Amino acid sequence: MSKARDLAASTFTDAITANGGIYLGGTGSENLLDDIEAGSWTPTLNVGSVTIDHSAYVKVGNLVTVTSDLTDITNTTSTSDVIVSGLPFASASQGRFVGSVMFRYVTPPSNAIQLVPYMGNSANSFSFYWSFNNSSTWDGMQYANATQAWDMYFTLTYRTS
Amino acid sequence: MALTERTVEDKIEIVGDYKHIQVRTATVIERDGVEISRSFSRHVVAPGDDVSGESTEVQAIAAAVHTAEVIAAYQAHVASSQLGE
Repeated sequence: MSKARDLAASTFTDAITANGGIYLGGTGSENLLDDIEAGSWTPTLNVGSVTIDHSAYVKVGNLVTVTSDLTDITNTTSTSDVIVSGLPFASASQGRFVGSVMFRYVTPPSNAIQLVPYMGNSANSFSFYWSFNNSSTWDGMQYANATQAWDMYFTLTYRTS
Repeated sequence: MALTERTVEDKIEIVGDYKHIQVRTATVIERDGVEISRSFSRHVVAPGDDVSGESTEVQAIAAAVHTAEVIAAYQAHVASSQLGE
């Protein structure tokens, strides 16, 4: 027996509990919103120390958005790629996920035009990649790209299982 | 009136091809034993991660699902996921 109820023209003044989710715009599985959650996470870097602020996540359905401010990143000499781990959810088994980042005290490589956070599939970490206007490759951002203790603010949205 | 705070791992999930363990930790505030607030923080334990700082429950799950084969497969996946430089 279906438990669906038509709530047209209903007004609610209190929170609604819908453990099975809510269908929006249709009744197919693609229309079912069955999970929303917000919380915090703790980014970690693969090299050096960092000050972390405003690290939050929001999960709506299977879409996760994470934000964080990483400041006073101490290492400026390592040729390792910058890798952030500690994410609240693993990424889905299909897809590539790209976000946005703002940074300072970093010198882009020659002909670099953009830096973005990039997360592959089935991953629980991500790194940062430079895009170029004269190259077919992407280069991972290295700590040595920084000129002094450096900062970055980022947002990344990705799908999870 | 007594306010107390406690943390509990209230959700542990094993997801994906490589058995990532997703751990949700709830911070619960109670007044005289009645919950008045609950907030979440999360992290993921990947195959091959150091689990010495995890709870005994998560350590047991990791020992069961992060077999040598899973760890090797995940490491190969991570290596192949890097963009061409």
